Amino acid sequence: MGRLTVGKLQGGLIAVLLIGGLLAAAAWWDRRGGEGLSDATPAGRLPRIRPDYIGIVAPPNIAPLNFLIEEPGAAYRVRVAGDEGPPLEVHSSDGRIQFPLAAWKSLLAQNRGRTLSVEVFVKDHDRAWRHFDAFPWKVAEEQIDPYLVYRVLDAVFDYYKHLGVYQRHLESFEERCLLFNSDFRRGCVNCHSFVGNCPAPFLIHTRPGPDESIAAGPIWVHGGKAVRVATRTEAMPRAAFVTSWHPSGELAAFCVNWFGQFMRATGAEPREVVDLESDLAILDFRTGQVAAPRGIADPDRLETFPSWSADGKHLFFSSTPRRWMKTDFDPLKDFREVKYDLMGIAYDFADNRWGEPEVLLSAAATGKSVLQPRASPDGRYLLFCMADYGPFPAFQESSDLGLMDLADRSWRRLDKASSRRSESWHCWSSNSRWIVFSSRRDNGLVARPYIAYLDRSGQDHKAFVLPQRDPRFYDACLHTYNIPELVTGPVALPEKELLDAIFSPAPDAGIAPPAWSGLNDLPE
Amino acid sequence: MLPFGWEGGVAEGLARRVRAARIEAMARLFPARVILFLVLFAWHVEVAVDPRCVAFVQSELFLWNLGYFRDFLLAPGDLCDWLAGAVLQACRFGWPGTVILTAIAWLILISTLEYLKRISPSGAGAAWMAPALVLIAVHGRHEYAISASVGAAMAMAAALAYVEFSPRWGRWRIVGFTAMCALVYSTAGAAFYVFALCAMIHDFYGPGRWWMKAGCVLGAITGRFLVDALLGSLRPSWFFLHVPVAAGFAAEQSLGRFAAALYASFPLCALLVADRAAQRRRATPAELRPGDVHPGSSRSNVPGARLRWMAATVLFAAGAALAGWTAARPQVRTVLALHASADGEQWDEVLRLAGRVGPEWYSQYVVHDVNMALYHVGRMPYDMFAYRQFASPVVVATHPGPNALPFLDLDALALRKLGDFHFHLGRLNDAEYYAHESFVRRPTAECLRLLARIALAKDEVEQARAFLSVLRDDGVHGAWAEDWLGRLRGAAGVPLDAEIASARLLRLAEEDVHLTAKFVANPIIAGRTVSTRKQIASALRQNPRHRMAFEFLMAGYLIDANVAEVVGLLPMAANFSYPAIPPLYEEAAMIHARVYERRETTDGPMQVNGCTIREETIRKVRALDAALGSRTADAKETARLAKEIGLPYFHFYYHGRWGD
Repeated sequence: MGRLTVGKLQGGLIAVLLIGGLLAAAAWWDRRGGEGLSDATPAGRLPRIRPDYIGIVAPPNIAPLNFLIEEPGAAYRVRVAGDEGPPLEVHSSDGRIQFPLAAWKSLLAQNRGRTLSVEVFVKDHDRAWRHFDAFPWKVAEEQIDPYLVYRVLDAVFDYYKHLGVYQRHLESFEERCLLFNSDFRRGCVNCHSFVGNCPAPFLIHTRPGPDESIAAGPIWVHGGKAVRVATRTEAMPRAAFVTSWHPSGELAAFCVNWFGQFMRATGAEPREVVDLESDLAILDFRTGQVAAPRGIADPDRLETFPSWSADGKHLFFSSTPRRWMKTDFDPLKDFREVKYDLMGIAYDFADNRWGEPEVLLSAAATGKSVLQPRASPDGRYLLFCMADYGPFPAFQESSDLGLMDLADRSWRRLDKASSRRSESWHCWSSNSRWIVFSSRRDNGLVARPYIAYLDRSGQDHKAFVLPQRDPRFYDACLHTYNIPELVTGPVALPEKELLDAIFSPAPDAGIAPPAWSGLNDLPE
Repeated sequence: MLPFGWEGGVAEGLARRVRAARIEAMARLFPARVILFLVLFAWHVEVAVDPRCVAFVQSELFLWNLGYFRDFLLAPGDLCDWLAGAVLQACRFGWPGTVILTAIAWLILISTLEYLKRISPSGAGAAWMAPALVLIAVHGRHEYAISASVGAAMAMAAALAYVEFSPRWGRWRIVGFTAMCALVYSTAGAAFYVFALCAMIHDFYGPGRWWMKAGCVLGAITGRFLVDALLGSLRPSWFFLHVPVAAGFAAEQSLGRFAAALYASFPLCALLVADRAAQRRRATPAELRPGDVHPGSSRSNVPGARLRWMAATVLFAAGAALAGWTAARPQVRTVLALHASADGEQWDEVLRLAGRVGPEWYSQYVVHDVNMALYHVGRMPYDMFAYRQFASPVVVATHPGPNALPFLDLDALALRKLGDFHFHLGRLNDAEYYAHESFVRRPTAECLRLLARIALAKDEVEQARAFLSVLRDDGVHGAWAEDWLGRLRGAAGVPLDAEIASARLLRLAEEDVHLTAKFVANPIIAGRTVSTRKQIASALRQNPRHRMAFEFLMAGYLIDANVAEVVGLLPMAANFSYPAIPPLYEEAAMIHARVYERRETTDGPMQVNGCTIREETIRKVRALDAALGSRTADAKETARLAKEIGLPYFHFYYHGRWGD
């Protein structure tokens, strides 16, 4: 018995010594890595990092802004310090800076509304440290909605294979696939839309893929159930496209488009879209009725991209005179002539009465096509895209974000958030302080979700890409992200019910768009 | 007692025993007949099949990185597909693929042999030769999925392990069997059935209680569906590149007929051997036939055994050779080698192989590769009709045409070839479109390389980096990608490169989609149809010194027998550094002059549309006239004589425009 006790004591002592030794070695290694920092030579410039997070305004609840230091060196060290709390230090041997989640959250929480200073040190191969100019990270007071729902697909031209709708938790790197099209015979899913940033209820649209048994049309997910809704009428026989919920959750405005796509022979972006026919309609979930009042479905105009105001008293949309088959408009030749006005129309929800459409921002005045209006939840601003022409800003290199103050209708380009490439598919956070949009600024081919802060004066700040655990993630990612939507909570998806709904026939399946008979009339 | 090593006799005896054990092990691992078969197999794969052709047919983008590998852990059998993909990468280099495939064949056969020995103590006999013959036959088909052989190797190795170790498991046998079924199914997919059946055959014919045997059946079913349930519950948040098929019974549905034939051969042989062994155990000595091995006796003691062994070996070798020869398709190999050479821009090799492609294998894809080769070596306006030409000088995206190899992904291949064609033509946006369409349908390293080149030519540095960052992990083009990434690091814009500079020089300046495409108002999503001919013509219109556009446009008109258009473009030949108007154009001009302008071929110089026809061409046409005499209206005779005299376009024009 005595021998056993002594043996146990000896074993315990050895274990303690081993652990202590390991801890000491780790501490020594950590300190050793930082030796010489105080003697570091100033580099006299900002470091090159990727993604470019220099000088951004970050939400206090964002996941760590991991980045890659693009400076040649043998060792790297980053120190993030704020007025409150201990600084956060990370070292790396390959330039990848990955902040520990808990320490990161703590630092941001303690420095909410303040500015963090980020210092980068790079150790050269000759063992000398260089110290780059510090850059700031302003931590905003206002949080961003914790979840982002988006669609991920290949960089599609005509043919697509795989796509899915994903949900990302912005406070961590957790990402969940909500719906992947290999689960329903590679059909298409798109245009997910939520009521006022709430995760439920929501609408999602499907289209057939190679298997044409998958119906085209929206699916309404609410109360744990998913059901197809009828939106097609004899007058508007095409499937619904972009949808906007009325804040009451009882109406939705959607557009019904017949568009064409072709490839241009010149220019950085080959893809081009033209709208041949386009109208808006209103789906009333209480009655299941679809209405298309003339103000938003003018036979002489193309209306698209509906968006309700925060109070539901106005519907904003884009509109242009209809040319196809009304004039000698040749889609392949005259596509640059099409520019959309930004419109607004009043709506009385109680009486179901519509006002007259009015032009808020004309293409003639701006020289641009004004598209995809999205009203801020606080009712103050209208965010939109402005492109040189056309109905589809995602394929327009010239597409930038613009902001209109609804109080006085003044507007301006968001210079700091925009880039020289396409910006589109923007959305607001529930507190109207953050916007997320798809930007193709990285390489012009695929879009990434970018986040930007709008302060209370409406001033935009530099946009930054959605952070990833591995900062090199985007380097070899050939997928494109679109339709990012901020939501306040995780989407509770009744997967089985949703798939059942996807495989179910559309209630308006009997209505199909007519075959166009004017093929022979086209100019040769 | 002396220390070890001092007693020479003991040490020597020990060394002898070790040597003998090694020799025995080698003999067991490399039996003579297996070695003979493997030699035949390797020759068949290397010479008759050509692993590079197999890689051309089957290889998709395969990246040596963790992200890509992780994609293959999410569906049953995908790990086997990954291993097969790795083997195909070796096949892209030729003989290394042969070595690895031969090693896989060895593993299959040795596992089968040892397995059969364990279910029939008197020996496996010749039963193992049947799967061997099936193996050499299926490997003669370029479309035969390599993953089937990899799966068979895994399954038979697992079956051998099971029959070797399971007797020691006692009552845990069912659990062990279920676990092995789950493991084999998750890694090898449909090959799991090979393992399960072979293992159950061993158990059914071996000693054991009936409930243990029934339990094995349940264990197999449980193991299989348990894996499906487990993997189905893992919903990955991301696929890097490879997306597994989500359908139920996907592994079984994806099984091709060749793989099914191979898989079936193992349990069938096992059944045969096990049944025969069981009969022998039940038989009395009087019931044994001559030649049957008495249980407990050695086969080598039977009189004439050595002679019979040799005869059987010769027969087996002959059978293997026959199976290989029957399965081999030399013309298919030639066509595939031609396409692979075109991918590698080995133009002389393309033209050499084209001379060996028979008429019934000459597809639009071969025509395309041959014409690209002719253009790149500068012989298109001279030797175009030394090769078969029909329909169009380039592939048509929507029409594969006759004689196309059906097991190729023709859509993806046509799109990639068109992408490459438009890249060299300077129509970079069209090239980008076709390359993207091809890449989404079937991601290949060649397509990704083309996309990177297009981006470089368009000065889209970041876009090029994205493609190169993926391509850097490819086994063949990785070094090229890494080199370009190094050049782009820190460079402002794209560094100069001959190919990139040429593509930029030819890049279209004016938008011409309204001239080259026709809008098609499809009721769901409208689109357009594109005329490659008009695209080439537009490129030439924008750049009258565009040699590729000129030669391919002329080629199209020549194939169409539209000599009027050829004559119309004839003066443009002066824009290029031809020593004289190419003979084919001169022949077309002469046809036009005779048929449409009704001009006689007289002595002295002749001009067509302001271009002087060379005396040599006129002399040949006069010789043709003289040979024809009064039979000038006889097209067949004209074609025959034109070929003899050396007027290849006359021959093509009068032969009915489909070549030989």
